[in-house]
Amino acid sequence: MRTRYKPTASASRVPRNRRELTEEEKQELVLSLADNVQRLQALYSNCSDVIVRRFAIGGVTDAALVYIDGLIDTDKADRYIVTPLMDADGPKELNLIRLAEQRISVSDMKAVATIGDCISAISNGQPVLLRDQEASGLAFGLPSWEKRAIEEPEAESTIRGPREGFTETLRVNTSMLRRIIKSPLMKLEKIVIGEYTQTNVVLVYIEGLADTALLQEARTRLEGIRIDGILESGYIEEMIEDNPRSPFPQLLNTERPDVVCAALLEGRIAILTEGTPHALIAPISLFSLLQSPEDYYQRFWPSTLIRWLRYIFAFISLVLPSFYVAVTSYHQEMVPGALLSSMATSREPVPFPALFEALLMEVTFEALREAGVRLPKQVGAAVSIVGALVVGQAAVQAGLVSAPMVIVVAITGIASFMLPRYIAGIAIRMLRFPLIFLGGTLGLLGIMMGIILIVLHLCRLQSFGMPYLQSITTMQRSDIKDIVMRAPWWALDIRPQLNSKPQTKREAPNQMPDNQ
Amino acid sequence: MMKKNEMITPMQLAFILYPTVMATGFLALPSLAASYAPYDFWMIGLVVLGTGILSVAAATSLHARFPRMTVVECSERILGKALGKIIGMLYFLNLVHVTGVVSREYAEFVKNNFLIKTPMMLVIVLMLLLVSNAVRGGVSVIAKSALIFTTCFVFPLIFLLLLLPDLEWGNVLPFMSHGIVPVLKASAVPQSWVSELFLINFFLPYVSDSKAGMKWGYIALSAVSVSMVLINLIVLLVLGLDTSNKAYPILVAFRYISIGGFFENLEALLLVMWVAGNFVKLTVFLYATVTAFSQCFGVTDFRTVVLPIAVLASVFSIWDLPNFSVMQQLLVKVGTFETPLFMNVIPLLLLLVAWLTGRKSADDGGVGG
Amino acid sequence: MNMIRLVHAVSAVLVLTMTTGCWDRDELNDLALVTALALDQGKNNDIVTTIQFLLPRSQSGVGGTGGGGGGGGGMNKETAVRTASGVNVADALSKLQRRMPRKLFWGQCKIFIFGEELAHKGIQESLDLLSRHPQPRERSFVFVSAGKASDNLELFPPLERTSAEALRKLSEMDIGYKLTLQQLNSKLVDDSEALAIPYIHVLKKSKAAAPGQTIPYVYGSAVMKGDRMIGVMSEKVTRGMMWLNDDIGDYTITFWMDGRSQGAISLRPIVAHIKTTPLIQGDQWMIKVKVNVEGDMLQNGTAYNPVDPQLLAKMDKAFEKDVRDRIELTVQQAQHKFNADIFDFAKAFHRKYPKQWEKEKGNWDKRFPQVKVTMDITAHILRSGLILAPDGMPHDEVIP
Repeated sequence: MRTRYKPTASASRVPRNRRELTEEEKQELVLSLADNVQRLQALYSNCSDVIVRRFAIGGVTDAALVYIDGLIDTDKADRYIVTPLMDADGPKELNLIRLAEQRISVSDMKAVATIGDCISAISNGQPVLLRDQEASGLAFGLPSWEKRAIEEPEAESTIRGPREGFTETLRVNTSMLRRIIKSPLMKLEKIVIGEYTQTNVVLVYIEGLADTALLQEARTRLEGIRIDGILESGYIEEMIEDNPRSPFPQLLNTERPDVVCAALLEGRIAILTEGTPHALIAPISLFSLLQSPEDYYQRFWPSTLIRWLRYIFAFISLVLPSFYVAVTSYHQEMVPGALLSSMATSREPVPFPALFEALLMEVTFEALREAGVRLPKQVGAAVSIVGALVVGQAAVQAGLVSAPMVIVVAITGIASFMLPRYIAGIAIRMLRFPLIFLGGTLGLLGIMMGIILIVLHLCRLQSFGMPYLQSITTMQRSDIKDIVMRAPWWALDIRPQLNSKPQTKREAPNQMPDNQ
Repeated sequence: MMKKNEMITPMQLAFILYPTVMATGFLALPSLAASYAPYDFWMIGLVVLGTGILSVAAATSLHARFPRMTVVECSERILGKALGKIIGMLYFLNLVHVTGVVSREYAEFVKNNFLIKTPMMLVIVLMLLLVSNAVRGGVSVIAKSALIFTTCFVFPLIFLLLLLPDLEWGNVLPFMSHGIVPVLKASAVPQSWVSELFLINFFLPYVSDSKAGMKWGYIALSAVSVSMVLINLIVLLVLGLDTSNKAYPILVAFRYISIGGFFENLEALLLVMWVAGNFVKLTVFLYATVTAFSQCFGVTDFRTVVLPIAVLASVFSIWDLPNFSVMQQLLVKVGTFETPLFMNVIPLLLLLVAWLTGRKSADDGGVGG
Repeated sequence: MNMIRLVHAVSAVLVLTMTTGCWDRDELNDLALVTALALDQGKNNDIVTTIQFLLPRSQSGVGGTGGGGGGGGGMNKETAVRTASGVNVADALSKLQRRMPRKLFWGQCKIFIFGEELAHKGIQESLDLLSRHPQPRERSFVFVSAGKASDNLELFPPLERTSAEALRKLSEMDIGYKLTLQQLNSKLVDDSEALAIPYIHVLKKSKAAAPGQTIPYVYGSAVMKGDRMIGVMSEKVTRGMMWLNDDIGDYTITFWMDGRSQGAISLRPIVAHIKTTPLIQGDQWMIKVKVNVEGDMLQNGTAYNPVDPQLLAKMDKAFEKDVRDRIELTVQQAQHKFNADIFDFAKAFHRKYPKQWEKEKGNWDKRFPQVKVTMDITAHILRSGLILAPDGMPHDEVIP
C-alpha cells in the first residue's frame, strides 16, 4: 500500500526481523567441549550473571550446563538435568539426544547446533547442555523469573467485566488470550524486533476473520522495523502508523485481554509485545476511541445513553474553551442577557484578554493534571486539591481570571476525562489549543475553520488502510447501529466493515429472545 | 487523472448536491422571491422542480451515453476537438466565475453580520485555502466531508421549528391573487440555483453504482424542493410582508427564536450552517472548475492546478463586484441566465447532437476519469 | 505527506490570524452593555438619544456607589444613563459614543422607547437604524412614553436590576399589550398602515422609596397612523383592541352585574376564542366577530350563588355584555375618534377579497369608519372556585 513499508532489499535477505548474525554467532558447535565453552564464555565475557556448571555424565564424560542466573529454575535444573545425568551409567556411546530421551525428564527440549542458537536459548531462560565429543547441544525450557501477578488494569477499569489485565510477560498474556479464544484458528505469529533487546512480538489474529491483505500489510510493516530496542509497544505503534504525524492515534492500545479478543472476533489484528502490558489493536476508526469495553457488557439502554454522553462531552472538551473565548470577545450578543451581565461583572477586574485568560487557565490545568498523574497516588490527590480548589479560588478572588472561565476550564477537564481512551483524550486536548487561538482571533468563524480542518484531516486518515471515519461516511446500517446507539447483542449480528470485502455474520439469525 | 480506486457511494452524492444548491441560496432566497410574489413565494420550491429534473436528467443521460466522462470530456467527443475544447474552456470560465461569486456571497454575509471590521479578503482566502485542501484530497475526501458538513448544514434548520408559536398562518393569504405569473417570476433566480444540480455530472464517474447515483440525484432535488418550501413558508409566516425588505430573512428568523427567554439568539447556528454549507458548495464548485480545466488542457495531476485556480477564483470574488447591491444584481440579472445556460442548455444541446450523430463513448474506457 | 500539508495549513492559518486578526475583538471589559435606548425630540429638529447601560460591578463588592448614590435607602445603582443629540439617531449615537469610554454594545438592548413628541413627528426614520444595525434584536420591545422617553431610564426599580429589565419582564408576562420591533416593522408595511404601540408611564413612587426608586409600566397605547402618533387609547380601549386581535393573554376580567347595583364579579383565567370574518355585501363591508369566551370565578362581589344554573346564566349574560361593551367601545374609538385601523381589518379584507381590496386600497381611510362590525358573543363562567356561595355572607342573604 505505501512504499514506505515495502520490504527493502536487505529485509528480504534476512527473513523474520532479526539482526544480522555476527561471525562468531554463525559458528557451528565443535566436538571439543572446552572449545565450545570457551567461545561462549568469550561472548559472555564480563557477564557476571552467566553460569557455567561443569559436571561429568555418569562420572565419565565431561559436560557443561550454561545458563543465566535468575532466568531459570535452578532447582529443577539440578533435579531433572544435572542429577540424573551424573547418576547415569548407561553406555557411553549414546548420543546426547538419546541420553536425554532416556534420562532427562524435562518436557521442553530442543537441539542447538550453533553458537547463535545457544545464545538465544540462554537469553530466553533455557539452560544449554553441552557434552564433550558432541557437536550439538540441548536447550531445556525451564524459564522461571520473577513476574508481576495478574492485576486489574488501572487505566481501563470497568464496573462490569473481567478484571484481569495483561502483565509484562508475553507468555502469560498469550495464555490469557488462549483461555478466552480456544479455537486453533487463533494464530499467534512470533516476530523478533530489536537488535539488542531481541524483543518477542506476537501478531495475533483469527484465521478466516482477519483479512489476508491486512495481515500481509501488518507483517510487512512489523518486519520493516529496524531499531536497536523495543521497550514498549509505543515504539512499535509509532513505527507502523499510516500517518505518523497525525494527532490522532491509529492503533488502539489496551491492557485488557477481553478488549483484544473482542477486536480479534471482529476481524482485527492485535500486536502483543514482550515486556509491556499494552497490546495494540488495528485497524481502528475514530469511534473505537470513544467506546469503552463496558459498553458491551452493560445492557444496551445505559450503554447507548452513556455513549451519547461521551460524544457530547468529547465535543465539549474540544470546543468549549474556544467557544467561550469566541463568544465573550466576538459574539457577546449570543449570550442570554442575564448571563452576559453577570459574566461582564465577573470579568470586570480581569486584566487579560479572554484569549490569554483561557490559555493561561488551560495550560495551568494541563500542568496540574500532569503533576497529579506522575506523583504517587496519595500525593496526587493533594496536588489536585491544592490546584483545583485553592489556586482556582484564589485566582478568581485576586481578579486574575474570571469565575466563568474557571467553570469552563473545569467542565472541559471533566469532559476530557469522560473519554474511555487516554490516547483519544490527549489528541483532543492538544487540538483544543489551536482552536482557542482561532476562537480568539476570528471568533466562531475561526472555530468553524479549525473544525473543518480537523474533519478534513480525519477524512483522509486511515488506520491500516481502513478509513478513519469508515462507519459514518459510508452510512452502513450495521455499523451505524453500533455508533448512534449500542444495539443490543441480538441485533449486532454483522461484523463491522473493516475493508471493502463483504461483511460476515457473527450470529445465527433471529437471536432476539421471544417477548414473553 | 484521479486514482481509479477513489469511489463514492451514491448516497454521498446527495449530500454533495444538497448544499451545492441550498448553501448560499437559502439565505437570500425568501427576500428575492418575496419582492415578486409577496404572499405566494413559498410555492417556488415546487416550481423549480422542473429545472431540477432537467438538470439531473441532462447530467445522468450524458453520463449514460458517455460513462466515466464529464461534460467537458464528452463535449470533445461529440463536437470534435476544437469546438469541444472551446466548450470546455467556457465551462471552466463559468465555473471559476461562479466559484468566485459564491465565495463573495459567503464573505459578504460573514462580514455583514459577524465580523464587521475583518477584511473580506481574509475571510475569502481562509475559506478557499480550506476548500483547496479538500479538493486536493480528491472526490473521496470531498464526499466524506460533505457527508459531515451537510449534516451540520441541515441540522440547525430543525431549530426553525421553535418559531411555531410565532407563526401567523394567515400570512399565506391571499392565495395566488395575481395568478401564477408572479410566482414564476419569483422562481427565475432560484431555478438557476437549482440548475446547479447538473454538477452531479462531474461526480458520476466516481459513483460506485450510477443507477443509484441518479436516484440519489433526484432525492437531493426533492430535498432541495422540500426545504425551499419549508424555509420560505416559515419566513413568510413569521415576517409576512416585511420579508422582501430583509437582506437575510433567515437570519431574522433565527434571531427571532426565543424559548423561555434563555434559549435565544441562535444566529450562531446560522453561522455554523453558513460556513459548513458554503464549504461543501465551494468544494464542489472548485472541484468542478479544476476538473474542467485539467480535462480541457490535459493536465495530468489535477492537484497541481488547485491552488492557482483557487487564487483565480478569489480574484473573481472581488473583480467587478464593488458592493453588495451590484452582487445582488449580478445574481438576479446575470446568474438567472448564465447558470441555466451552462447547466441546462448546453448539456441538452450536446445530448441532442450526440443523439443525432449517434455518438457514444468508445468502449475502451481509457479516456475517462 | 498529507500531514505536512496539514501542518502547513494550520501554521498558515495561525500566522495569518495572529498577524492580521482581532479587528472585531471586543473584550467584555471594553463594552458598555446598553439595556435601553430612549429617543426624544430635541431642539432644532434634533434627535436626543439617551441610553441606559449596566454598571458591571459585583453586587457583593464594595463598589464606588456610596458617594454618588441616591442616598436614603442605600440603593445600589446598577445602571447609569447618558445623553447626546444629533441630526438623526446614528449621529446622536456617534456623539454619545464620544462621551463613553467603552464601546456601546446593543446586543442586549431589548427596550426601545420613543418620546411622545418624537412619536407625533414620526418614527420611521429612527426605526431604520434599529433594523439595519446587526446588533439590536428583532424581538426587542418598542414603547411610546408619556412625556420624555429618557425619564423612564433614570429609574432604579426595587425588584429588577434595571428599569429596562422591569419593562421587559412586564411585557413578557403576557398580561398587557406588547409589541416587538419585528411586529412593529411588519405592521408598518401592512395594509392597514395603522397600529398601536404600548404606552408607558412612570409609576408614582411609594412614600418610603428613595428618589427614582420606581418603574415604568405599560398603561394604554399610542395610536399610530402610518409612523405618526395621533392619540392615546386608554387601557380599557387597548384591551378591547387586544380582544379583537385575539391577543388576550393571562389577565383578570371584572364586570358589574346589572349596572353597578349588584356588585362586581371577577374572572380568571380567561380562555377566549375570537374569530373575525370579513364580509362584503354589495357596498357594505362588514366584519363579523365571533367571540367564545370562558372563565373561572376569582371573586364574587354579588349576592348570587353561582351554583344555581339560572343565576349563573344571568352572570353569563352580564359577562357577555361586558365583553361586547369593551369591543364596541374600542371599535367606536378606532373608527370615529382616530380613524385608524388598528385591528388590521384591511388585511382581513385583502386576504379574503383580494380583487375588491385592490380597487378599494387607496380609499381605505374613507372606507374604514363605515365598516360594520357585528358581534356574536358567547360567554360562560365555567367554575366557581373553592367556595360556592359568596364567602362570609349569612345564608339568608345569599340569593339562592
